[in-house]
Formats: sequence, structure tokens, C-alpha cells
Amino acid sequence: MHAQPLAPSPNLRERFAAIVGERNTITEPSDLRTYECDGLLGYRVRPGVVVLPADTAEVAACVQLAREFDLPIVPRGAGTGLSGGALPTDGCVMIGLARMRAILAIDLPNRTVRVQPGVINLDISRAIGAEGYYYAPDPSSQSVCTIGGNVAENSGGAHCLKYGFTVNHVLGLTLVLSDGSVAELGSRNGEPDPLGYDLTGVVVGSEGMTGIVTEVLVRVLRSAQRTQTLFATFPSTDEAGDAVSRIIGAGIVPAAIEMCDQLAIEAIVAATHVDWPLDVGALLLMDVDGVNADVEETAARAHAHLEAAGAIEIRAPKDEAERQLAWKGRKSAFAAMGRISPNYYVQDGVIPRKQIAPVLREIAALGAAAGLRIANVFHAGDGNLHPLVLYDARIPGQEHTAECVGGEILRVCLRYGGSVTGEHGVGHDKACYLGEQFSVDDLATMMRIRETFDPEHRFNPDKMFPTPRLCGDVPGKYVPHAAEASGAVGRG
Amino acid sequence: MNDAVTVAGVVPAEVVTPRDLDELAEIVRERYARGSRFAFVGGGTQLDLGNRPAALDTIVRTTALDRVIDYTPEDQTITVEAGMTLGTLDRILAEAGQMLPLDAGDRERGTVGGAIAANLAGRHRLRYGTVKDMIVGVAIVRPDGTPARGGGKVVKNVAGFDLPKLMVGSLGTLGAVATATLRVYPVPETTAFVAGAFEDDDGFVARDAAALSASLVRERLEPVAMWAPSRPDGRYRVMVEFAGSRVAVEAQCRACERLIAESGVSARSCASDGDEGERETRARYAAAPRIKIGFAPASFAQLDELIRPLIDGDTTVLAYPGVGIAVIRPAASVDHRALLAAIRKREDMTAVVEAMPPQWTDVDAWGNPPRALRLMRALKTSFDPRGLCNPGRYVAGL
Repeated sequence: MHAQPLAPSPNLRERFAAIVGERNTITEPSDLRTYECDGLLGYRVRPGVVVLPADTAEVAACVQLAREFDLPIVPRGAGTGLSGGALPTDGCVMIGLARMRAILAIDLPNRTVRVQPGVINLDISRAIGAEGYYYAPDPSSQSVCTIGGNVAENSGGAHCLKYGFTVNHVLGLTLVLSDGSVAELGSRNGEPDPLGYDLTGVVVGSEGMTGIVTEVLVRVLRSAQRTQTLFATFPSTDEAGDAVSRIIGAGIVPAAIEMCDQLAIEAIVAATHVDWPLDVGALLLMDVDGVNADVEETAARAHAHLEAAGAIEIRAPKDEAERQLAWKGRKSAFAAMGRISPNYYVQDGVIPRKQIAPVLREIAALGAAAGLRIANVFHAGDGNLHPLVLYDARIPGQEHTAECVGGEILRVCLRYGGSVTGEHGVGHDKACYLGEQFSVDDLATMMRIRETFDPEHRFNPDKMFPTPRLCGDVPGKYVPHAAEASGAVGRG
Repeated sequence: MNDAVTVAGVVPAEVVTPRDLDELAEIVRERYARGSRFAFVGGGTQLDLGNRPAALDTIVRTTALDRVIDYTPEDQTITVEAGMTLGTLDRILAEAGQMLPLDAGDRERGTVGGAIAANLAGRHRLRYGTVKDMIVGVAIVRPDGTPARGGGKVVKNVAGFDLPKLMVGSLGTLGAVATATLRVYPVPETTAFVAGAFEDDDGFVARDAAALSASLVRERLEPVAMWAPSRPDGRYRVMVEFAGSRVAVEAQCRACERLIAESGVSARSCASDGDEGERETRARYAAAPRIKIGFAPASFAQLDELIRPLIDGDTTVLAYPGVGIAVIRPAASVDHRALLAAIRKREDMTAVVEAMPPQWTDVDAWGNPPRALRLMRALKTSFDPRGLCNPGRYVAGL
């Protein structure tokens, strides 16, 4: 356990400023406000000091200094994370990587790019797009989120269905460890099968608990010959879910299949200028890509499955502008919720993809029982649900109810053999549910891995692992939701 | 059943074959408590991989753990016990028109657990990647006998630390893989090949083979495999494999033929690979001595230049320029120490002796220790503090 954090002494500030400079050492309470939370807006904790280092050496020096003062360290990228992974620990040293935004090397013959962690996801594709290459993982926040954050969370995105997640695209890493030493992991230059344990594969998705990533070697892809987008509407999510099952079950591997339900459509239409119909129950947005001839044939097969599942309308965007607009609509869906609700709570569970329709029905029942609306906009192709529980924080108790419904949704996912998170991470938000997905021995094994990197729990303490302090007396303690207590919903 | 199993020439005192997962955990727990040094063996196809263990008391064979735990074709995932052979898995998947696109030398002996532990990969990694890209969940038995799980049964999942990735290629030094959930793929409608330089009068120099690989990328073709076996004259033949819908495969074969013709080499497409595919698999997993070189894909020509003076016409090279792998079988006349040393001097190349002949007594199978060895040691110690699990065989003694 760390010493009770104190307000930063002038001495501490001076020492950090000597490493990163005065301007990049933030201790004024008003300036610290920005760093009190990430995309999980319901929680705010003030860090003791925020430092913005410029390179690996400065990060290492900051880590050493934090260790000298026995302060916890919380790394932060752009702060777009939705699970509270970058939520400060009270009085911590927050190491912000936003200044480390250099693209260090582009090596297209080897299809690799080396970047600092503060580089924006989309900026990699922008830097190599003219040559016809791109970086595949595409979280919806890709125009603002950083690669460092993507590495921490093993971020996904719509097109991960075909192309894999961050972990499938990171070849090597530079990592500052809790003793301030620097480790080089994985491939140096794009050579395959680096020797020894795949520590790169372990650090990706470790939610800032193994160290601070200061350089990332990513694999980039040649863009496909052709991409065909299909847009289909359905009477309800039942038919749309059935369409997804049919397409995946038929062995078609689209680049992406996204679903929006009626409420999500309403929000997106209000917030953007897409001309989606409002009188449908669900829509699917789907990309098929590959070589020209394959795309045509696959799109035709997918079309047939959409029709057979009961689509109302199936169409292709008339041009690239309309295609981009449709995807922009999809990617702005979370932000669009502001049009239909003062507040929302994003959930991120995974289910086997043939179970979409029944799970969505159970989720709707949970919302109805709690008196809250739930919008769904998600990565249907890989069963990664994003139910958005809508609430009004001004109404006492409603935020808590929304969180409880969110938790019940995760339990539904687990009951169907799924996972409590597909891409947003466990972070602060779901630490108490991880103990329902994994046994004590499973978690203890993961803890061994974590402690290999960070024996003192210096980095991002109080995240991911359920603890009595976070979750009550028993890790993952189950608290029945009001709707369940009243008998409106059950557990099966 | 024949229990004679040796690991890199070392004969264990006993071979035990657990009948189910509980028994596997019990056997491991008991041997660990007793201080026995033990190793896990599946089909025993990779026993020449790695260094000679210092000593081995027990071999735990996983071959009786061969059940399907869960298979839902519509989800394109399957969960099986680790001792299931790849051949059995192939047949189960084929009934639903699916496959695991993971290449191995002997699918009737090689097991799922062994493929994970040894990180087996052949030519199709160009399109489908490696075990890392297919594994979504594992149940393991830690060296102390504790069962633990990581990942899950769904294709997308970031809950908890990524135990599945850690097991890939760890050669059983962190415990046994007991079950694995794998992402599987639809069997493509059709497969076809383009062969380059199969006539005697021409051939690719390494630079042109690398250029062909680059132009396949440039033209945005999507081959599932490309491989280049060497000829005695030091030139290479090339095979490119396409799979998918008939019309797309045909179009890509024609485009590929044109690309090959541009380099002045004869090319022909064929619906069947003759037996080139099988020959590739045999060569990829040929008997000792066999060295696997890893290099950044764009440096194939440099690699060829580096090794050319050190090998002779009787040495076979099987290169995969697109992924950066070359497999060498040095002839007896080759100074294998000089060959390994030359490659291992390069920071961006690796040279692993995948099949060590008994007479190479003073050769380290792995080469230069990885840069993060200190972390790897700490991890090994954390999982196996007594150092009993597959001792001495893996990278830098891990």
C-alpha cells in the first residue's frame, strides 16, 4: 500500500519541473480539473500532479521520482477511455503522454510504422494514406484517441471483425518499468517471431498496469482493392440479429457489420445529417472489402442473406461521400446520445454472435423494468454489444440505477458465455465484475503476470482487479438490482 | 501405446498420460510438490526443437485429452482439449465447412496444445497470421498444478491479462495448455496456384523474388501464401497460392502471372499445386538439421547475400519473403556455426535451430538472448519458482 497521498509539496513540483519543464508540470487545482476523469464521466478524482514528458528518458526520470516519493502513477493518453482506465488514484502522479506525438519512422517496404504513444490513431493512416496504406484498428474515437491508449486497452473498432484488434497489429514496444528502467519488447524492425515469451502480447491490453509505453512499432496494411458498403433496415433487432447470424454462419467475413437500434438511429439522425429512416426497428451498416471480384460476389451473397432475414430496404451508398457520411454517423453514435438524453452510461459486453436477438430482448426487459431507455449501437459481427443506458443525472438515484442496469447487462453477457468487455477495458468501471467472469485462481495468475512487470503496484493501482475496497466485502459481490428484487427480471 | 519418448535426446524416468483435465492437474501438482522435473508432450513432433534439457524425470503426455468441449460453427469458434490432433480437429471442422488455417508437418500426430506451445506456423500465415491471431482463450495448468483460465470463448474480449497470448510459443515452460478456444475460418470455395520459374532455363534471384512479393502487395492482391524454394543453382522458384471465390481466384492468378512475366520468368497457373504444397510442408518441417531465420520482409535479398557464401548447392533454402521467414537445411559440408553466427550478428534477424541434430552438441538452439530477458526470467520464476517445468530447453534457459 502506498502512503496516504499528500498535496504536492513545492519540493515535489520543483523536482518534476526539473525533468519535464515548468510548463509541463501541472499542480494548479484549476488546471488539474481536466485530468480528473476520462471518458467515464461519472467519476472524478484529482491527481496530485500531472507531468507531460517529451521522451522515454523523461518518462523514466518521472517514474523514478514518483517512486522516490512512493506515489502511485497513472498514465493517460487522450483521456477518451470509457472504463475509467485513466481515472486518477487520489494524489497520484499522472503521466500524460500527449506531448509524445512524433511519428518516428515509416517503413512501408516492411509495412511498419514506429510512433510515440501520444500519436493520434487516425494520424498514422493519414501519414501513409497517400501511398495506399493504413493502420487497421479503428475505434470510433480514432480521430482523437492515442496509440498509447489503444495499446493499454487493446482497442478494437468496427473493422476489427476482419482485421483483428490492436494486439494483432503491434509488433514491438518500448516500455518504462516501475523501477525506471527501460525494456524493449518484441520485434525490432518487423522481423517475425521474436524470441522468448510474447510480452508484447501481454502488455497490449494490460490497462497501464505493466509500465508506460513510450514507443510502439505497428504493422500497417495495404488498403483493399475495393470496399463495398451495404446498408439495410429491419422491422426490429430480431431480424437484424438473425441477418448477422446468417451472414457469419454462412462463412462470409465482412470487414465490419454494425447494428443500430431504433433509439440509436433517432439520436444519430438528430445529431448528424444522415438520411436514415426513423420508422424502422434496426439497421445494419456493413463493409465488404477485398479484391474486386471477391467483393462483388461477397456483397451479393450478403445481400441475399439480408433479404432472407427480412430486410425492409437494402441499399449501397451512391458515392464515397455518402459512404463516409454513413460511417461518420455510426462513429459519432455515442456523442449523439446527447440529442435524446441528458446522460448515458455506455456498456461494453460480448456475447456469442448467434445470440444477438435473444440478448437484446433481455437487455430491453432490464431497461423496461428499471424504467430507463436503452439504445444499442454496436459491433454486431463479433458480438460486441454497446448498450447505452439513458438517464437523467438530475433525478436523484437515476445514475445509480443506470449503473446497476449496466451491471445486470454484463451478467446477461456472462450467462450467454460472453465477456464483460470487448474493447473498452475493465478499468475502474468493471473491476467488480471481473471476479464474476474469472475465478480467484484465474485472477491470481493474471496478478502474477502484472507483478512481474510491476511488483509494487506502482502503475494504475486499483484498476481491473476486484478488491474488497473497491467492491465491498467480497470481491465481485452481487447486489440484486431493484428490478430483480421486485421479481421483474430473473437470473438464469 | 508406445511410451518411448525422448526430449532432445533426454530419456525421462517415467511417462504418464492423464485421462482427463483433473488428472492432468493432479499429476502436475504431485510432481511439482515432489520436485520432479517434467515436460509436456503432445504428439511429439517438435521434440528436436530447442536445447537439450539438463535432465527430465517425467513426461506428461497430453494425447488422451482429445475431446471437443464446445463447437458452435455459427460463431466460428471451437474449444478443444489440448491433446486433440490437428488432423482430428480438421475433420470435425470440415463437417461444418470450416478449417483452422494453421500449418503443421504431421497433422495426424501434432496436437493443438503442441501447436500453441511451439507456435507452429507455415505458409498460410501470410494471410491468416499465426496462433496469436487465432487463439481466443485457454485453460492452463500452472507448473504448481493450479488450473487457471484466460481469455474466453468469444472472438472479441479484453477482460483481464492476456494469458492465451503468453502461452503461445512458451514451449511448455509456464505450464500446460489444457484446453484452447480457437477462431476458425470458412473453407474457401476454391484454391489455385501460380508457379514461377518451374522451367529449367530461368529462375528468380532473391532480389526479384522479394520484388515479386512487394508487387503482390502493391497491386493489392491477396494471396494466402507465397513461398520460394531454392534451386541448386542458387536461384529460386516461386509458388503463389490464392483462395476464395472462383472468379476472384482466377482474376488474381492472371494478375499474378502478369507480374511474374514482368520479371522475365516463366509462369503458369494451375488449379492444383501438383504436390508442391505437400513438398513445401515436408520441407518446412523437415528432419534435422533445420534452421528457421526471421528477418524484416524487405531484407530478403540482404539475407540471401549474407548466407550465400556460407552454404552450397546441396543446402536447401525455403523462403517466405512476404512474412520474413526462411528455413534452411544446411548440407553436411556447411559450417553451421559460421552460418548461425553470421545471421545472429544481425540485430534484426533471428536464427533458431528448429530441429537440432545430435552431433551439434555445442550449438544454442535460440541464439542471442532477447532484449527483455530480465522480465522473461522474472515471469518464469513467478510461474515456476522451482524451475521444474521443461528445464533447460527454452530460450536462454527460461
